[in-house]
Amino acid sequence: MAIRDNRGYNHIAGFHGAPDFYCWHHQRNDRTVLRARLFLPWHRAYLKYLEDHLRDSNTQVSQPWWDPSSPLSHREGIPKSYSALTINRKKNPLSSFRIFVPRSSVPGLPNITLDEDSFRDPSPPSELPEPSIVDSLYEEEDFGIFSDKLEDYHDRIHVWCGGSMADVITAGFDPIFHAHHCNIDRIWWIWQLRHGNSTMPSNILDLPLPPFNYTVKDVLNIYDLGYDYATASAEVVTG
Amino acid sequence: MNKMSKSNKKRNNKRMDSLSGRKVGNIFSSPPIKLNWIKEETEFYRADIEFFGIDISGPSYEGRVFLNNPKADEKTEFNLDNGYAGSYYIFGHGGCYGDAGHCDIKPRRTFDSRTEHDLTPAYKSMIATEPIKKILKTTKEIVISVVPISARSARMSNAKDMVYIDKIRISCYENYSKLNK
Repeated sequence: MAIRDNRGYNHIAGFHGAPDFYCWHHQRNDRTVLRARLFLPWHRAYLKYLEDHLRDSNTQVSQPWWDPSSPLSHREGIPKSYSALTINRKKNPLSSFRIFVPRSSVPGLPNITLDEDSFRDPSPPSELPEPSIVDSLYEEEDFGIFSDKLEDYHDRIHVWCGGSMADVITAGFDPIFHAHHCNIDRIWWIWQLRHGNSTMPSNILDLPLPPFNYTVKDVLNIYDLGYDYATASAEVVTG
Repeated sequence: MNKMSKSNKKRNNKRMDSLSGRKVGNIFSSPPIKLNWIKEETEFYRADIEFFGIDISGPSYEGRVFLNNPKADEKTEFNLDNGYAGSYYIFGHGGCYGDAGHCDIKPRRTFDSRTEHDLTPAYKSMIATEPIKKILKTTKEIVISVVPISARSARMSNAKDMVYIDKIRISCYENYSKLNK
C-alpha cells in the first residue's frame, strides 16, 4: 500500500508516536492530582483499528500475540517469526519496517525527519519476566492497581526489546509492537473475565479515545468489538 | 526536581559502565523519609512506595530501587540485605520530536480538546513491605536510591540524567479486617 495512503501501515503506526502522538501511557497525574488511566482502553481501540484495516485488505488476517513470559520466549527471546530476516528468500516484513515521517516543508519549522529501518536490540532472554509476575497480576482486584502493574510489565518489555521499541516516538512502527500489545490486551481481557469492570472509575467510561471513534465503555467487551483470543486455530478448505 | 550532591556526581561519573549493552545513568538519592509515626514494624501488614512526577521525556529505563544502601549500583544483587525493594520500568518518550515549545508541559486549557500533555510526568508504585519492615528494626529514616539502567540502543540511552522524581511517598497499611477480632 502506498506510503502516504491513510489505510497504510505507516500512517496507522504513526498514531502511536511520531508524528501524531495520540498514545496514552502512564497514569496522568498532572503532578498533583491523579487522573485517568486510559492506557488499556486506548491501546485496545488502537489494536481494533489496525485489525479492521488489515482485514480490509485480507479478511483472513488476525493479529497474533507474543507472550514474553512463556518458556519459548525465555529460550528464544523475540519469536522467530519476527526475528528471522528472510522468509522464503524474501525480506521478512515482521522483522523490520521502514519508518518514514517526512519533515515539514514549512519555513521556520524544525527539519526533523524519520527515515530509518526499525530495529531491535534485545537484552538476554533470561531477563524477560517470569510467568509468576503475570499470575500475580490476575490476583489484583482493583482496576487501578491492576492497570498500573500491567503497564509497568508492559514498560519492562519495551525496555527489554531496546532499539525502536524503546522509544515512544518509534515503537509503533515495529511490527512486534502490536503482538506485544495484543498480549497486554489479552491479559486485561482475562482479568476482566475474572473480576469484571465494577472497579473501573465511572467517570472515565465516557471519555473518548482519539483518533478512534470509541469511548472507554465501547471497548470494555471484546466480544462487542468482534474478536477473541484463541489459543490455537486451524482450518481447511472444503468447498 | 532532584539535584545531586557533588559527591554523588563524582561517584556516578565513574559508573557509566555497560551492562549487556545497557547504560547505567546517574543514581538518584532521595532525602531521608522519616517514619517516626510508626512505633513498631508489626503495626502494618503492607507498605507501598509511590513515585510521583517521574519524568518520561528521556530514554526508557529500568529503575532499581534500593533502601538505605548508599553503595547500591548496577552490580548490587537483588536481595533484602542490600535493601532491594523492586524495580519500576519507564517507557520513555525518547527525546524531542516536533516544533519549538511543544515539549513544554502546560495544564490543559478550558477549550483545549486534547488530552493531557504526552510528557505529563508518570506515577509508579511498588509494594515493599518486607524491605521496609527490615529497616524499621534499626532506624526510622529511609533514603531511597534509584539505579537507572537504560534500554539498549534507544535514542537517548547514553543519557546520564535519566531519573527525575517530584515526590516519593511511603505508606503503611493496617489490616483493617483484623481490627475487630
